[in-house]
Amino acid sequence: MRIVTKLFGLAVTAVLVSMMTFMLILLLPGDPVVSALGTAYDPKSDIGKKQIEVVRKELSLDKSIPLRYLDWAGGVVTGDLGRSFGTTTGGITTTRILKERLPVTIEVMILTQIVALLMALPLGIIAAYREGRFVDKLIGASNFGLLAMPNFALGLILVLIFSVKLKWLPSSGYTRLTEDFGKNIRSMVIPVLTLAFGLSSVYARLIRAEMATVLKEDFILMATSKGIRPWRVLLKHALRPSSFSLLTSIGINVGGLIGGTVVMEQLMAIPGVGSALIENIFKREFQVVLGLVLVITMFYVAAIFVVDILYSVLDPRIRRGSTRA
Amino acid sequence: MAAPAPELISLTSANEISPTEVVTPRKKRRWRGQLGTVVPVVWITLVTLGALLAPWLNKVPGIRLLKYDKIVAKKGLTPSAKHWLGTDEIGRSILSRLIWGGRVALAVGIVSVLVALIVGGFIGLIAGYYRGKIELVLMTLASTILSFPALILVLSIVAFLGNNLRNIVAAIAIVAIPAFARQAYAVTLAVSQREYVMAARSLGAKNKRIIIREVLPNVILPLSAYALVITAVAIVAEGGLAFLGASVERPTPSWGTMINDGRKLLVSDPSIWHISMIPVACMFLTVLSLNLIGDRVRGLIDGKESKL
Repeated sequence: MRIVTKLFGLAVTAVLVSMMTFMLILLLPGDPVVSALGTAYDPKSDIGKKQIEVVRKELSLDKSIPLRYLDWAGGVVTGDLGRSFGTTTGGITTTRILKERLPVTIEVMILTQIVALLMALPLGIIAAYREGRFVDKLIGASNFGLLAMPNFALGLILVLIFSVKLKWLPSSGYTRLTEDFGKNIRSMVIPVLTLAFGLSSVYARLIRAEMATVLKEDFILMATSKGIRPWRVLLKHALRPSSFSLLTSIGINVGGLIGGTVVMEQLMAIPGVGSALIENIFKREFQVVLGLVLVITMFYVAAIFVVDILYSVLDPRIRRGSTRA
Repeated sequence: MAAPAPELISLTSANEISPTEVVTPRKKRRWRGQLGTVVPVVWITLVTLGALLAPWLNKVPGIRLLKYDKIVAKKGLTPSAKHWLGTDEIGRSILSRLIWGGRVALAVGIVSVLVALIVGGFIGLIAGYYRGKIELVLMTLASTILSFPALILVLSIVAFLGNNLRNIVAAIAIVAIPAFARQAYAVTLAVSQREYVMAARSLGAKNKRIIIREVLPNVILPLSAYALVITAVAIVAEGGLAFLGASVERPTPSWGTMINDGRKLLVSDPSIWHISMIPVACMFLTVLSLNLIGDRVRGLIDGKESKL
């Protein structure tokens, strides 16, 4: 029953998101027909007028806004996310752009999550275990500092150190995973590290806060007094009940990173969804922009939904329908 | 559907910390000492004063603030006694440009955030106090907007409307409104259940009076702590816009455009790395200071709450 309600909620959110995405169109100043046609026509000639008519029909601009939304949404549901009109690129479908660009961004996202968790888990657990001690304060202070570092600034510093001074890593560019594995990983190091540093400071703080509370509970005292080694207690007993806000945050960032890598993709010249979006925003390919924004946002919505479901798997109290203490 | 945490900009922000982390103010005072608050406050005051007074600073004897587009010396000079922070890629004083650039940070950090605080705070207050259908509509709307990647939303607005300061400030304010609405909503929900609100209601006070006299004063404090964090996020967002080529037009300096212009030279000429790294440091110190002050304010509020 609960899952049905949640699915309904997901559907409502999806519809709202698509409506709001569509409303981005209303922001467009000027005539979208003109931007679709570019400079390759003469508005005064008969042919030019005819062209305008054709494009206006093609973009369904002769219809009212609700009707245009329904048309567009209908297309989206059947897998038609629109296409670009660019004179130079000559009309690529948004789906093709996604097929090309999405895997790159997803690779960055997954690697970032893994690296961030690898950094955050030990730090967060140690900080909680030594709560109030020097190590805890040191970890806390450095996380606080990292939080204040904008990711483009951190990326720039890493570029300065690792590619400009030490010349270990490329300063920009991307090699496909299928082309050359080693080169691919090398081109991923700086963007992934940059994003992961920021993320891990958030994760570590979440783990520390929740675990510090869990460690004060009776079942931990019980486990410790049975003589179980501290590391075992931390990992086997304390970690699972301490991972709820971490899980939420991971979920948010699975979705958030798909759109959140934009600046990083721009800085490191990585051809992901983010940079595709930027290119199309500046080329005023608004159909493509709508399609991409919709997909990116849906990723976010879906990730949150999955987290919601995972909650009940992780926490028996929710599964039974009672509220968490 | 589980409510996603308020996430203004997809950059990680300090507000994702769960409320279980309770530190009493006294303990905290011993922790960091007063220095951790005084230094950030001094820094923010300096930046603010510099930004506000930039057009008149020249008239003060002893201060030689140069116009931001004035070429004063050879390009790429490193910091020296004459040019404290050196010169940039075309020979303009970096220190002067930082001070002028503070005006953009100030506009984005204060004007956008203030607008969002007032509008979003009002929405959240109404939704949290009246509940029911208003709550459902307003909060669904807020969480829908919050599921869009914020920086992309800001960029779309700015790119479509034109990248002048007014549009940038407006775009950031629009995106920040639902974040404030959600925060105000959560606090109002809790405050509305408190004894003093019930007491006022049982005395026959009208809703309007209860909201203004009882709820608002208790919502505004936590909301302003949140505003400090969002101010930092907004300043970073301007930097993000600059990297995407949509911040203020040259030659008007902003910290973001200074970093972005400097980084283009970083790879070709590593010897002048200070051109990008000095504004990076400036932005970092500002964000760090705002987070520290925000943290402190939050700690003080928590302390006051627990005493009640």
